Amino acid sequence: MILLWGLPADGPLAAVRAALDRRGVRAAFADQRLVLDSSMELEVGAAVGGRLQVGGQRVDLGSVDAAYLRPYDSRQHPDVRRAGPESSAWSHAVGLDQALWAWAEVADALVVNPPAAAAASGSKPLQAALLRRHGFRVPETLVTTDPQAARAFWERHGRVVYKSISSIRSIVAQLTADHARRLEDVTSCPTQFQQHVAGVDHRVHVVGDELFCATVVSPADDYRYAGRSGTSAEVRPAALEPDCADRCRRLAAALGLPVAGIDLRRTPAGEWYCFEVNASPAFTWYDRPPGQRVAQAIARLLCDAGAGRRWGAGADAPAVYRSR
Amino acid sequence: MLAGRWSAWGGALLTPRDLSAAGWRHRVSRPGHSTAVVDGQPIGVGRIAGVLTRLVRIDEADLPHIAPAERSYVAAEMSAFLLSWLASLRCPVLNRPSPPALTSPCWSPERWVLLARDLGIPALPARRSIPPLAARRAGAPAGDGSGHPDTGITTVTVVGGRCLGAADGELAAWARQLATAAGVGLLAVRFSTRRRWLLGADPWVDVGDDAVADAVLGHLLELRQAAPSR
Repeated sequence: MILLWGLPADGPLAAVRAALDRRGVRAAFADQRLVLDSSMELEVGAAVGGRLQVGGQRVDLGSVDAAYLRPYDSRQHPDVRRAGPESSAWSHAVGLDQALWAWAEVADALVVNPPAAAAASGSKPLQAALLRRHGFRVPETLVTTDPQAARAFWERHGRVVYKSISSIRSIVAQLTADHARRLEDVTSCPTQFQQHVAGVDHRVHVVGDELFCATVVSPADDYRYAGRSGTSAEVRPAALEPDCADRCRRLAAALGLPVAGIDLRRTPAGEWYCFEVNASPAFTWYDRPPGQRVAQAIARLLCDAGAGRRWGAGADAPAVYRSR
Repeated sequence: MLAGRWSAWGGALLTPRDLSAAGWRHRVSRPGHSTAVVDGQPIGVGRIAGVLTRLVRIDEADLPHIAPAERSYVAAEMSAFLLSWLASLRCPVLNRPSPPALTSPCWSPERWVLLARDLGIPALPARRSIPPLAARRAGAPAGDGSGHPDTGITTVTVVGGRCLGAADGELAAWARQLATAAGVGLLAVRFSTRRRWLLGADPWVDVGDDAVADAVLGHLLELRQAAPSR
């Protein structure tokens, strides 16, 4: 059985669900809108078992072969927010999220993506160090609370961007003269500055052994928000050099991610810089035709697990998969 | 308390407040050239001989000096920063961070049960129950995975290769096996005294216990001595 967890309107989840439908596979769907109409039992002893009840649908967790998880924080559910942190609805929503993540951590199933493997993407500088170890160039990065150090870094590199350290979404922006006075604010909280690297953005989606690449052509510092700067972003399918493609596959495997969205930039000199690996990529934005190729590949990956062909079951797989 | 006890060895306490002080310079590609701020004082990371981490993450409550509207974001940023900084240190760190936690292993009860099963160590099955909301409102209990209550608990503290608090060689051996398999130097392992099965484990060794505090310091110094010179 294949389990999907999230919101029906979430683009990637809807695309994978549709791809499974097209294959004639009816997946169990843990619809987060029904969080207050859900319950769960989890038992881990000699085996991992339990049941998940979502509305009128009952899922035997022991029979799940593969799961695609793209949940939002259930505390953001309108009824839960309205009830507030002291309410039983809040405790229920938090408890259910924790229980499902606990299951995902120990499930004898292909989990896309395992929470422990995905957690490294919660710190960009930590991930940058991992990317360097896997042979990618990463921009020079300084995280500092020292305005003088920030200024010196800016002077050395000429063009510098700043961005969030955590996985909280922020708009990547270049430092400009307007920021000079505000640099004093970095004393409140460590702030990440990065050498600006000129080049063409590439988004690579690795799905098991399959790889999909797109370029994003945009004059914006952060193409995701091109509209806000009065510019645009155009996504085009692209091919990736075999050596770089292999590195992407190896990187995703080494990080223990069956599905990964890798942000690369190719400089005019042909060097590849890697910015980050997204463990829950919103691939539908990049895929042309929208969401189909990557979604189909994820559906294949999930179905293969159900047919006993588990990603990462080989000798080169990360230990987290080999152990079960 | 511990910083005072270790003051003769230069012990100092780094708190979340130190992350709002000028002086941090974390150079991701050259971590050896970074500087930190500890107890209000800037210090080159090369001068740090060892770290004992007693935080899982930075929470909003740790940041009363930050504007309330910014606390959630700042807490997440500081936690993500510390993950990177702690992982980059060449000195001994007890225990090394494991995302998303600043120390390790901060595992669920279920994961400990699986590890124990793989090692052949008896463990109390982990059960977690999230009853329907209507039942919860009617008073049905919700379980958090920690299993059944057990009145007699033996805690074995693993510090490096040493085990403290174990009057029993078999429990000590199991605790050591679990710490080795988890890849950590510090681990507090709880067993049911009567049934002799694993109840749980975490990195929060009781440093209020003099013997544990001394053992932790000794272990940090040993690791420091064993580390290759740079």
